[in-house]
Amino acid sequence: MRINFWLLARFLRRDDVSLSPNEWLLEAHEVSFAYNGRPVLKGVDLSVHPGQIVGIIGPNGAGKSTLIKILSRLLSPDKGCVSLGGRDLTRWGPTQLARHLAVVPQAAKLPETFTAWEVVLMGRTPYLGLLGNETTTDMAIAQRAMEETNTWHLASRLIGQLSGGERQRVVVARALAQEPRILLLDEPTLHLDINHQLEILSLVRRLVDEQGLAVLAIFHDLNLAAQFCHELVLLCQGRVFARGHPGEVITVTNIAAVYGANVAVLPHPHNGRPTVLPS
Amino acid sequence: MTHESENRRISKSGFTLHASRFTFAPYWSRKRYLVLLLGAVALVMIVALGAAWGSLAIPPLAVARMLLGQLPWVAVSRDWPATWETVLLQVRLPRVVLAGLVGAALALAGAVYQGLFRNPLADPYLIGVSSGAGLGATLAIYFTVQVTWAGLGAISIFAFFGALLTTAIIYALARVGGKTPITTLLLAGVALGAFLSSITTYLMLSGKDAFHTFHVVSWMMGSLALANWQQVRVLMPYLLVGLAIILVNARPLNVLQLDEEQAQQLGLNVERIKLVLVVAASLITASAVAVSGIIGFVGLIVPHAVRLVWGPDHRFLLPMTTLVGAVFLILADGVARTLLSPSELPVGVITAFCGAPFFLYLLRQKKQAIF
Repeated sequence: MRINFWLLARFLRRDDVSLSPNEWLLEAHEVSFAYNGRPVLKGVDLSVHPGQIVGIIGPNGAGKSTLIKILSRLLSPDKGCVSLGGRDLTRWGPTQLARHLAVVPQAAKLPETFTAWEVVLMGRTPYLGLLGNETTTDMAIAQRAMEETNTWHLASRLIGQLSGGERQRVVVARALAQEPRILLLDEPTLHLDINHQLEILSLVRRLVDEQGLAVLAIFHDLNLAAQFCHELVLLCQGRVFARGHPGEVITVTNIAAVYGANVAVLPHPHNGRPTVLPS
Repeated sequence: MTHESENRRISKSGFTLHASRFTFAPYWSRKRYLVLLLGAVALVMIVALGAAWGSLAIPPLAVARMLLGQLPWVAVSRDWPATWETVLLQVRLPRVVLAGLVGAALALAGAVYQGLFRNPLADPYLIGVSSGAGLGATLAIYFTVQVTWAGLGAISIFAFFGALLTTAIIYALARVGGKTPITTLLLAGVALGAFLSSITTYLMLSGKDAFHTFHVVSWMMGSLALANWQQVRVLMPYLLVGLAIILVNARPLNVLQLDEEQAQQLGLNVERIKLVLVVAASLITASAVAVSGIIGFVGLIVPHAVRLVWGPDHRFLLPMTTLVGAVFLILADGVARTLLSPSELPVGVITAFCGAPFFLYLLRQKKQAIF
């Protein structure tokens, strides 16, 4: 009886997670959501595997940001469910979830009077206890995150003194400081110069290849999405319009059907991935 | 232990780019502890000085000997007049200590509300404490209620429960689907506050006895004139418990300075932290208001001044604000009771008069964003 009770307690404890890295899978199944009666997502299926970058593309209002909010448990879907590592998202404790899933929101609001360093250190919050303060290990991790995002030289500057692109990179550094297994990015390359865009995306690609990170990113730039993603999901009016390898999703007919724009799609001279050009 | 890191990137042409030398160290350094300790020592000294200062002139040496004589292991020959001892130990010292406690409570609550609402205009009376306390006090005065409890008069008791009840109602009104959005809390506070103020004003003006109106108005202006040790004994536990609860939540309050969605995505239980902080801050404000009336400006200005000098990190801001708030109100009350001696100014006049220019001066000195 005692052993059964112990097993039951382990089963019911929300914070107990012990899965091998191969099983880290973020899955959305038939997710539907409506804002005040206006349907935004209708039956969206999605899965992100470790070592994979999934890109979400689609016109404005297609429900992309809402999808990220549902995947990070800020909103709960009206229908359908989301599971992480095989367990339903609602059964995860908030701290445990934050140790495994990090979100880089679009245009994140940051306090103007904190330094970039302090903001990146906030990424270590899920690892600090109730009365805990940051240890040297936490600081070393935060420093490495800032070095990788090329924001270390901004460490002692106030957020109010940083440009939009620098703030964006600080938020990415904070997400990396969380040491997540799954990274959700909402338009990570907005406000960034081309060199910083490529830097951030190359960094993410390297983390995915080397550490088996799973990444889901929303892109507004179709060419960047095609270059860096293993799989693309094209959303149109809350539904998945097309899914697959970038070459299969970004086609002239798909773009015309979803965006209503006439474009030319050419293979990239280096790797054959689709490149969208206005026609 | 400190770690040093250099970041020098060499461009293709050999120039050094982005060189910086940034050191990081654990937050609670020896220097921070020392500053807090110095603040506490300064507070004790200001208490002694405040007790020495007053309309009845008592020589400082006699004050020191009287205070030291209170300590159990010190033997001092008692050669001062009994009136001095009564004035110092039964009138002035409790008043100074109470001023310290009230100042600490109001400043701490102000800092917490400014952090919670992420708004530099927040003060401890933001969600209903002042209007609730005002209505409670008015009801006690209007209906000439004569209960006492734990040595506190009816006005204090009614004000305390009026404040707490109002905050609870506002919180319940603002709660939508398990969440309490901060803007809704603010709006509910403003709305209910206006409603209660209107009832208070009606009661004040329709009183049969003109003395009632005068009594309510002078209570609302805030005063420490009737301070006694009983009030100190009642206020102290509320302040200490509230302080402990709030300090535990200081680091989460930092993270709450991001918007609430980000704080939640970083693993914080945002709703629970908000509830705990609102309850703690309201408790200490309500207990301060119960003994001293509504003293304005302390909760608004002191946190800003501390933030301007020492930065926005709440782990240091909150304890330092408590100390500075105590010192500020002790000094303000000292001026209030001696400036127009033998009559007294309401301490709220002094806090506003001294606080505003000081704050403007600090603002011009630093020339940077304050929030």
